[in-house]
Amino acid sequence: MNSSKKYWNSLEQLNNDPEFVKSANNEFSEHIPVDEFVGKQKENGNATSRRDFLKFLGFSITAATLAACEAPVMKSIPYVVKPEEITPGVPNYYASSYYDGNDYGSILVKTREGRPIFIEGNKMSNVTKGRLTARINSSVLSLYDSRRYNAPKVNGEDADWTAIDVDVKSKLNGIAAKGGNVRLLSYSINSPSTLAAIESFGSKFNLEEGSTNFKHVQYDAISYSGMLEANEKDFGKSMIPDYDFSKANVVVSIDADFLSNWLMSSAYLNDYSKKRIPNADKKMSKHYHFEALMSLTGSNADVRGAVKPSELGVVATSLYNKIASSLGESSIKSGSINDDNGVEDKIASAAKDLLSNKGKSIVACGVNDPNIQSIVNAINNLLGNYGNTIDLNNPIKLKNGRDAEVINLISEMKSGKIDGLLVYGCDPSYSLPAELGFNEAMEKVGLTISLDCKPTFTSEKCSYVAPDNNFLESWNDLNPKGNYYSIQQPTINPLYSTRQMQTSLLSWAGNSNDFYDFMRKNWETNMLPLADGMPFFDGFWNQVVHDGIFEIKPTQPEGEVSFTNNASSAAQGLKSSDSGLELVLYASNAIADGSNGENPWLQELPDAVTKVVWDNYIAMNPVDMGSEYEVKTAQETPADLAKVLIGGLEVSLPVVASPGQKIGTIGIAIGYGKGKAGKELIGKNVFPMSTVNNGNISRNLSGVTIEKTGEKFPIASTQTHHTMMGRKIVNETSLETYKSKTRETWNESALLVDAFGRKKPIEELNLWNEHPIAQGHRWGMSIDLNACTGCGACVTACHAENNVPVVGKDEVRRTRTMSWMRIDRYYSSDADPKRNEGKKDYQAMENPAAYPEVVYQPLMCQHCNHAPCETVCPVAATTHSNEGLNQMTYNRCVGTRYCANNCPFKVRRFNWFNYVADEKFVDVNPAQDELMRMVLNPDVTVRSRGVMEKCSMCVQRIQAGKLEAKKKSEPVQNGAIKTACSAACNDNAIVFGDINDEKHTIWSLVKDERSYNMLEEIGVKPNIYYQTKVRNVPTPSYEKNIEKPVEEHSA
Amino acid sequence: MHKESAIRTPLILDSKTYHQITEDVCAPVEGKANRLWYIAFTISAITALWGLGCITYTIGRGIGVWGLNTTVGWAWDITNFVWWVGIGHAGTLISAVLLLFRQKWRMAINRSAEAMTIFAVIMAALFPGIHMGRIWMAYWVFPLPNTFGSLWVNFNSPLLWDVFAISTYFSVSLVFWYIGLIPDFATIRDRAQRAIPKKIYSILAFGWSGNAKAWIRFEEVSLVLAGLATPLVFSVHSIVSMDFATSVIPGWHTTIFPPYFVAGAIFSGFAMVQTLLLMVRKVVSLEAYITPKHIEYMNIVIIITGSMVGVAYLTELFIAWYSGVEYEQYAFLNRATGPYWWAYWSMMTCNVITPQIFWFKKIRTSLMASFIISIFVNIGMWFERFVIIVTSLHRDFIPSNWSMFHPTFVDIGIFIGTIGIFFTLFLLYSRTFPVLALNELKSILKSSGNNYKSKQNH
Repeated sequence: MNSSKKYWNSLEQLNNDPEFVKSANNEFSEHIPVDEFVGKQKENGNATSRRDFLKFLGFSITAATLAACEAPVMKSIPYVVKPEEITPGVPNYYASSYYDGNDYGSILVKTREGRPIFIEGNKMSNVTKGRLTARINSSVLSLYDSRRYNAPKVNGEDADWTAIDVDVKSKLNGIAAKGGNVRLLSYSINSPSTLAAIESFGSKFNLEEGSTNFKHVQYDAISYSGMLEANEKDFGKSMIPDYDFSKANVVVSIDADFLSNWLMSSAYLNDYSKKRIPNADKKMSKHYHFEALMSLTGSNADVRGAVKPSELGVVATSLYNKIASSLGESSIKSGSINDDNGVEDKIASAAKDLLSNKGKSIVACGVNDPNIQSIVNAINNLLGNYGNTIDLNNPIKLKNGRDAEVINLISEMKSGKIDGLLVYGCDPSYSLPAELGFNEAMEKVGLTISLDCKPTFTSEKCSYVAPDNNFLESWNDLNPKGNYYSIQQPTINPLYSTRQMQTSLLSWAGNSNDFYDFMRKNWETNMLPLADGMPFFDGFWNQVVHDGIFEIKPTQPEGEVSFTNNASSAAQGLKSSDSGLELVLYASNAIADGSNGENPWLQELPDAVTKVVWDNYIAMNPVDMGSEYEVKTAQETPADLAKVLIGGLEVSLPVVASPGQKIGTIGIAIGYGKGKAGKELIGKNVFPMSTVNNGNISRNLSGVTIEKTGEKFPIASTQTHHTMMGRKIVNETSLETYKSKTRETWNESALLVDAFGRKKPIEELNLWNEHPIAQGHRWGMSIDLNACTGCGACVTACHAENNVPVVGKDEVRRTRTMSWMRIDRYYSSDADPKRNEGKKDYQAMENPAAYPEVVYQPLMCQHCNHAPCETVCPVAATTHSNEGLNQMTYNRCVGTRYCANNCPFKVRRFNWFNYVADEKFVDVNPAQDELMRMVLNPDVTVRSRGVMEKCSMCVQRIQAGKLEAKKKSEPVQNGAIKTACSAACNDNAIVFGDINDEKHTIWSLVKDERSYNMLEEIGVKPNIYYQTKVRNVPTPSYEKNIEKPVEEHSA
Repeated sequence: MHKESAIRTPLILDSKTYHQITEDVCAPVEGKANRLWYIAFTISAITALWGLGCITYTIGRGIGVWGLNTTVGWAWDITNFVWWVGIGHAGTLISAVLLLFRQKWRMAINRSAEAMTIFAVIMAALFPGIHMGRIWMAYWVFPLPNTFGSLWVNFNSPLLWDVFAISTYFSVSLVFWYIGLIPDFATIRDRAQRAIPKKIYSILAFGWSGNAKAWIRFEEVSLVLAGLATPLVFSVHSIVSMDFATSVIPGWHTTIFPPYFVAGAIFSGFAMVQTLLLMVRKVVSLEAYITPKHIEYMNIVIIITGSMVGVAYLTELFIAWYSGVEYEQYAFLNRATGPYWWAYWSMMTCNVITPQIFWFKKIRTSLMASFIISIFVNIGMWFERFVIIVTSLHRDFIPSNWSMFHPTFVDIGIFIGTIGIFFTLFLLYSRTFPVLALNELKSILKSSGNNYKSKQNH
């Protein structure tokens, strides 16, 4: 067959028609008038004329100009080989753990396209049970902090790892060779593998058994040394037992801020909240609190006694004596309390309640004084709490630091005995009392190496900095308590040239292993045998990394721990109380010890009680402030500066009113003066004022003087009005009333009079047509005001999830916080009458009581079914979904702010500036930082200037959840969808769900007799329901107050 | 011809003749401006530029440069808006309602009052525009066909009603004013010496010939437009008041608002007319036409509307107490005794108390007293809007939201700036437009002119 077959397009081609041949050479069959177009050129002339030249020139310039107008092209590079687990647009979750020496949390890290963007609790953990704190969920932002060390440093200059390794190794070898002393100073480390790595490092110096050439000194800025010392004396073991608040019917706390900063608050928040919700028998826990400063925990107490810090010991001894005498035990030495708020009665009542709940109560103490701790131990022992609510067999391993060891180290350093000091995870230069002279001592150390991930006061003084990874870039294992282990796994490659501290130590010790291999080996030898039914390491390891936890419950207790009652001798050792002004250096809820002080989300998280942001200040009772200091600080009324002097140190800070602060005392938050906004330090550092008392660092100080400087200082607070003005905003009742009276007496529903004078429930009166919310989904939330502690984890979670801008101090002062949700805090006022009764002295009602009761109320868009915002928008940018959501269409919004004005809850937030570009926010808004903006959630629009925004009830999560359910062909399951806030709260106080679906928890919560809508009487019909706050007291304060004028009348 | 009782005070003094009227009114247009005018114009123009600068800054940077906050989402912006709209009420009322009621004294003041209306409405319309977060999307408030699908404006929103009300009012007022100007422009055209002004005025005069047919049509159109404009006088401010009345905020949610706002608007409009005319008659020497009698008439309107406003204030307080609603009661108590008590009492003093002294004839015929009180009323009416907007918002339902409003230099700059723009426009108008309706004035010369009246008496 002929392979060169030919095809013709036409007969003309076959025939080689001359006409065809001619036209085949022309691409265009018709004549194109190029020449005429270009210019009247001579037919044969192909020289470009002057006119043509100008034409081409003009065209090129125009074309070039137009091309230059084009927006810069942002290239997104697709994967060449796509990682199997990454699907663009679909988040991945990795189980990990958080521990920074202060907080522990078992977490789930949400990553999108390889970037960690959100942290929530790991429900599989039996330690934190899925709960975490604001500090933990904001930590994802610290990963992207461009102020972190981005490379190792030698004497302040950037270096590379090989250079620093060679240098450090030779110096360490030199020290080892001459038998010199090396110390590692770190926060409490409980990681078995890290401890093994440290031991391996130390063995380089400790060549003989029992040698102390290398020692690992653990130091906690918020010290529990007194507790460890007391427990060593009383139980023979320097440990901290585990407190189980889920079993405690009565909690008495002596200055233990266990919901915010005491031991493992992330775990306690969960257990405590659950016990605060009245159960089916209408029973709930009772919480007594004795403290000087109005703390987050104290503000949640049913009964709070304000006492001076120096009298906290007397509270303990007096409580001990009351219990001991009832149980026929001998009493111990006690003192008297300078009592202006019925503290004696409160102690008596606490003792009574404790005695009737033996074995089901907890007495907790946060004073770093072994004597008081011993007395409290004795009380818990008398009550039989050990083995019931307090577990000695699974001790908490988060706080191992003994102050005596640090003090000893400093004296060693001063004497020149120390040749090398490695510092990791703590900032002794910043946080130790000035009197210890750490900074001077450090100068005597030849070799100083910092292993910190970001600059600290100490690391800046070190000659070498070998920066650690962020925890989200690291492998680690943790052992927060007993036999509970958890894994930290990297969720992103190191952003900078950093290296895990453990790898650094191993490499300096001559171990070329990466820490990951080291850790695996450690688990293979030590952990695998403990696992049941796991014969092979790989399977075991994959399971552990997947779950993030490895928990072995002890099959039986390791035998009873013997208790020695040292209360009597401890009582002898108590210092007598002081009559002068006293100062409490407290750890605030957001900033704590300051290790995350540079985190803008935490700086903008209002202090739970005072609602102040971006500063520390002197907290003072308004009674003490009198007329000397400005009590009502606001935008145009700045605070007064005062100078606090103690032990040769002084600090000038603004004075802020804090009702509930014990009269005659002041409080200042530690942790400030470290983080920066731009170049400026935020607040002032007061750590150096703390002092060593009986060998332990004490932050309760006496011998303080304060003087007004006469200067003013602007202070930013998210709330400038502090009382409820007798309105039903937070509905509150007492347990007694709740139990004995009908719903109508303590949670009356609003009745309106219709046009014919008939009283009707508000649901029956409508101006508008109903939205079709009875069918299909109706999303809503129930917020239990009993379970809400005001901790603020929901607020930071919302910031992270919804790309809420951080606006900084000046804008907060202008009442322009952008938070989609906030937690309102109200103080009770002595002038509060009962609702709609009694004469109202509004002026007096504005002033909180000297020792007020406190309520918290999380507030976000109420997603009203008759939303006042929806009707007034001229362009219909805010509309109602048929699933009950009040939706905001940013694209359509023209920014008239009419909706915000007409919102009775004032939860709408306006973009006053272009927060992602305006120069005012360079230092505060993470979205302006090239790196920090990587934390933005790609599912949520970053709003532009001039549009309104507000809580969307995490509509992106709802949509994702609905799709997930659809894929499974099932209805949306209860708890399958969580909003950022309800996830952060672990459904303790905030429960999200479908109000129309009876399988959802919220369905019954909405029908609960405690349930009410805010501002029900204006008929906006919110989809957010609140559960009445029940205080475990016989009568609430406002009911008490109403009785007074009535009695006067009858008399 | 209409005969008028001899004992009525003449509306045109000084034995003016037809020619003198023409001369007097055309003098400012044809002559050179005096020093006073230049000083006034420079000050106004600088203030106007300053205001425009502040507006540019706002648009460039964001509404955040104002003192507004999350709690108080409207303050000076909408206060100024309502204040200017209110001022813009007098012109139409004078020309339309008084025309229908055959009030001849309107003829001396209607032109300037209408000019003031136009300029005031322009100032007012500025604020809803610049108060928007995204002014470049402002056209979305118009129901325009679009490519977004079924996207439409929200007819439930009072702000949308505002758009219609203000634009209708503005266009009707403008047409009415212009129709009245046509014969007067023709007069200036006919007298013009130089070519360019002649050309311009001949375009503006629409080829007015002045024949009887034209005059008949002129009168008819005026009557028809007066009929159209009269309901607008009442509708505009009623609708503006609905921005507040239809909301849920205590202090806003009030059914009394429409009549109360209309009375207030007329009150403030007359006060502003008073302020302007007392100046104009001096500056361009029109004492013979804008007589103490005119001032007295306007003062009477001010007493009446001022008293209506006063009654409305008291009614609000009574209803707040009578309603038994916690929030309502507090809102009004807070107005009078809260942190903004000074604004409330400024309003009360300026609006309710000061106009009452007009009951004394001596005071209401005193030009100086009238001028001072008109300024008081202008201030008082600004405070009224400020009180309604800010004191209602700053302490509404939930105490944790309670906040204060503090204006920034931009807020102040824009407000002062609009006054500057307003006066700039008004001063330009006084030099280029016939400030009195001269042809209409001539129609009453024989019935109400001083010399003709005195002739009648003899």
